[in-house]
Amino acid sequence: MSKRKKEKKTTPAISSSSKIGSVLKKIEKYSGVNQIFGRTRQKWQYHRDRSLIGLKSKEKIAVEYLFLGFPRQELLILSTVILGPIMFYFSSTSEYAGDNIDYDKISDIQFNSLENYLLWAKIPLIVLLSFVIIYQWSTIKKDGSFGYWLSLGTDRAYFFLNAVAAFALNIFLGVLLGLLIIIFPGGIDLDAIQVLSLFLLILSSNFLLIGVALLFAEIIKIPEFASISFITLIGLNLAFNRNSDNLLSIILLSEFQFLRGNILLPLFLSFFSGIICILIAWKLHQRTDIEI
Amino acid sequence: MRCNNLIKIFENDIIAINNISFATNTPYLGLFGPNGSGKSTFIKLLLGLIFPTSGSIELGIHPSDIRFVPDFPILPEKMTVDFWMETLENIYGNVEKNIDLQGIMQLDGTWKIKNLSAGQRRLVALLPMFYGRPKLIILDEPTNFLDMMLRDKILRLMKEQLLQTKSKLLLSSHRIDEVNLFVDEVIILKQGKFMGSIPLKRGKYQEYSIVVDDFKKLEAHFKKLRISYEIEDDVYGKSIRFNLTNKIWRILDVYTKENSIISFDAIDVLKSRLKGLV
Repeated sequence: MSKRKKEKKTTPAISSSSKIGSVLKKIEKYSGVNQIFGRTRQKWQYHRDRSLIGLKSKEKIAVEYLFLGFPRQELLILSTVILGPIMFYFSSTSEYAGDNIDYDKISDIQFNSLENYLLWAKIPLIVLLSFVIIYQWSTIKKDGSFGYWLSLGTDRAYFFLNAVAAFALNIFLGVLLGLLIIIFPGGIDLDAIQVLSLFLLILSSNFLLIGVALLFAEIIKIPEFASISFITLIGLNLAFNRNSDNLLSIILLSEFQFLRGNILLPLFLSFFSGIICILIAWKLHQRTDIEI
Repeated sequence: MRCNNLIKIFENDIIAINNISFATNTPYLGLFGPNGSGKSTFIKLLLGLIFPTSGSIELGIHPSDIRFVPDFPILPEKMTVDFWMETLENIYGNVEKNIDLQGIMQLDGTWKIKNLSAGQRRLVALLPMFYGRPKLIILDEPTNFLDMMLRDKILRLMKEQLLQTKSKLLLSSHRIDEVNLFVDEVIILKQGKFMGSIPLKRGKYQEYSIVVDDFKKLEAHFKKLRISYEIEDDVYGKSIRFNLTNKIWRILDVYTKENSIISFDAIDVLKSRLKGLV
């Protein structure tokens, strides 16, 4: 009982102190759009307040239960952290750089090692995404487990948003840890701008992977077929298109463009393609029948 | 709730809901119909889990204010009862009534949901309706798999919860006694079609049925006293169905003295009107 009283006292204090909340109130007051924004604002405040007072929303709990149960989350984070650097070390070969210090040669060696890392961080990610996102997403819509959470009042839009955020954050964490390992103990010599651009390229590429995975899960109704199709398409592209400069390679394998010094175009193309894929997946998801 | 020309056809061309139109604002609504009549599909449409092929359905209550207990829910199998109850408390707030739900339902908190029996799983499925203050509770066969003693306890709890939270109710059930206990109006579905709605006056019976040792003698009595009646022939034998009038007491007096009345039952409004609709 005391716990509930405490929550009731805490919630309004947080709501009233929010600057964004007061701005929204002013917009409503002066523009008369209360009917349009009222409900959205209420929902947004509800979710924000719950997260601020340490309570998880239904949507977050549902995402964690349905997608990130042990060992899925651990694999999602650690696969790139473990496999990427391991393959980076094993694939690195000692080459004789000559009697004089040849910085170009050293740079080539390091970039080859980096390519190994990018490749071996991507392969487990593709396999994992095909299971954690595509197979699971298609299955929960059919077997009634997602339907049950919806029956508990879970909001579809917030669930989708939470799921995308959870996938992205877990994968990004893995990428970040992997990069830190190859840069510091691995000794790859990159300056801050290069690290940042590499990081952004990997993030946008992975963001696109999440978008494509969601799209596959929404379009192809049979979970197994959806997973295999995703692995086949992305895997074939990775195998045959890695060293190409065509548009598909630039979009789907944008992180490899870093090795060619091409950053801005792949970054924007893959990021916006990812956004478009996620939006299409969301539109399809809105119209999908969910079993219970 | 309002439906306008609601149609749902599944991919295999099965017409689950066939052009239903009605509107009601009854707070305690029942949904009745034989197996395959489209009750569960109707509830799914109502909750927006599936989408109509054509037509519309409006509820006017946000999904987060609804608690739905499906007939065969896919429960969170990996959780223990305790963890699930904590999760529900986290989501909806505390149990409104100051009761020991776990004690009443005889559920051990350390049990994993996947290891529970069918009856225990049904209890776990019912748990969400007791948390917080829902605006609408939708129950699909709520007491399936429950033993008689536990069923009575749960029905009492459900009744108290509805009174306390002032929630509206949509009850889909095959059990006439449960429908009568909770509901003010019943919507009848058959093969996806809307067959009509029956307003119920709880506790007021209009028709009765009697079974005695000598059926022919009883029928002769009804004819002699010119009481209108209907003969029913079911698995328990022949019975006579009638409206209560003063003359009936003369017949009852005779057969009571002979000690030959096998059964004398009240037939409620729902049961009497269902015959023509389903």
